[in-house]
Amino acid sequence: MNKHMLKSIKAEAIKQHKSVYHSSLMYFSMLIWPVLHLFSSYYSYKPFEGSAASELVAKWVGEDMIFAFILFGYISFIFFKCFVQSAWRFSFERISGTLELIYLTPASRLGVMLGNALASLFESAWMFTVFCVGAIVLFTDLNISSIFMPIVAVFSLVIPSICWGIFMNSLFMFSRDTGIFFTLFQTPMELFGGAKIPFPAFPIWAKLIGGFFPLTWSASIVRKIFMHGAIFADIKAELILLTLICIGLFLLTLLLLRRGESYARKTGNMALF
Amino acid sequence: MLIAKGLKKNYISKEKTGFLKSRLKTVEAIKSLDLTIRPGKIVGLLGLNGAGKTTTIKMLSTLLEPDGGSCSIDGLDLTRDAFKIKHIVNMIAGGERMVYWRLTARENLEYFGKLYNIPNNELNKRIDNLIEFVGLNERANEAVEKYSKGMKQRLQIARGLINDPKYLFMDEPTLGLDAPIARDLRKFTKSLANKEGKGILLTSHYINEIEELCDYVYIINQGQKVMEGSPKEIASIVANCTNKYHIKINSFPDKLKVQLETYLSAIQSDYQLDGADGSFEICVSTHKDIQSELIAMLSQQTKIISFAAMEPKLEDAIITLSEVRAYEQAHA
Repeated sequence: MNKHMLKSIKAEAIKQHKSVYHSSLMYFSMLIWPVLHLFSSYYSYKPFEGSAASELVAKWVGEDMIFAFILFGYISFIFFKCFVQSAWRFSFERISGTLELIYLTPASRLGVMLGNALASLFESAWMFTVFCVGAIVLFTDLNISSIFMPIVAVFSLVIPSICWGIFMNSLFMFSRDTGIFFTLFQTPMELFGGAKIPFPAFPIWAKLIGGFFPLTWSASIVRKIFMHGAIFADIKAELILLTLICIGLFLLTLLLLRRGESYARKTGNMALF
Repeated sequence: MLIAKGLKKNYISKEKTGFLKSRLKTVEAIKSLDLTIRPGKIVGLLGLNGAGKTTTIKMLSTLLEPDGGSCSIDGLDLTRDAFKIKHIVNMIAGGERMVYWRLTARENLEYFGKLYNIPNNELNKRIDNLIEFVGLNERANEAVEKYSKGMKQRLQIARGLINDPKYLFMDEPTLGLDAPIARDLRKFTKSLANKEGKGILLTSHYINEIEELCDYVYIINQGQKVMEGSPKEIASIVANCTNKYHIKINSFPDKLKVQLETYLSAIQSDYQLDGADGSFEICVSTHKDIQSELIAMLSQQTKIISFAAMEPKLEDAIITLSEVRAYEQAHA
């Protein structure tokens, strides 16, 4: 990573942050909506307490752990969602004509995508903190093996979600119809990524889909660390899978960025929206 | 020096042929364009909508890949050395887009400056100078969304100069601007070429703007060059090409009709006739200034109710030039 790339990452992250958090109302909203999400996750589970569906989930996660299961699933999901939203915001660059101006510069394309994804880290980190505080307040019996393991949990969320974010960003280079990518990636990720339903409870075909989403393994690691006091050896398999998925996403991003720019230079679609 | 030879650009577009049916269609946006821009000179690129002006600018600024031909900018190849060329060129387009409205002018310039990897100290100095240069000093730290159209355009100019480009491509920079602001911008553009030695390519719809600023002009239509020359040459062709006279007369006797037709066909000109309310309206299109001859001819045989000589328009000149070129090509 050279100095120019680092400069591009920083410039893009600052620009996105300033563009999004342009008023104090945005910070206020950031305080409100994680709390609303927290309550929403709690009460979406409540009506099913004691039901057959609840029993099915309880079979995989344990009766007394259902709420913690949903909570940590949401923590993980929201982390990824923030990055997907940042990628979606990037599509507005096309509308405002600034995407062309970015591509007019010699800045590292990957650097710009990374910077855009990193701008969401602020939001994600905040959400994570709010949810964790909520978890600590709600569950006094959190089972964490060592102080080192929550750091592993954070990294297993941050790195894959950044990889996911830049991958989504690079897709937007190819197409101006961003809606299709949300349909293809966001909803299936929410459904099959194990945020709400235990991944082992899925049929094989759904597991095959879910297995490709980094959220599946990030959520699994976070849950094991916070709910089951997992040590490093317990999450080794998930970490390996997650690493492979991240490498795959990163390589795919590099390819898409190169192809995307070349395609845009051929078709002139960078200015279309 | 920027030298483009035989530049070509095709777009593939989909043409709907029925429900869920479409076929691919190739549109030749630029057919073969030769162009030279010398440092310190302003070159005009004139043409109607869809002529290929913006496509040319985007190719020269590396945003579009040419499908044929070659272009070198200070010895660098447009396709092979695109990333190096990005350091020495920039583009300014008309309109209010292409800046971040929620950022201040300074923040916008800082952002783009960093993408060009300009060292921080130098960038700060350059931003201060540019902000002063475009007259935004007093509102440099205000969000762009509060700026007027002219101020946003001035910020665009500062943004286009942030990397101190050797070649600047200006795509209709005065589009939609008030006359005084457009005048300031023209003055400013001239100083960029004369004082700072920048090679500038300027596209415009306005012949006056081209006459005032450019050292050399290319006229393109439907992706092809129809003429090149000094602004004076272009202006004279425009003037000669498109004289139009709208005349209202109260009668149109046959003798006059024959005389007019004979006269106009001798100078390869044409007329259209409309009759209403007992009067006749004649619209004469000609390449020559025949105002006095027309008045003399008509007044001898009828009463002239009104006579209006229409100012020549660049659009008419381009159409005429294109027709002439097509005719020449067909009979070559």
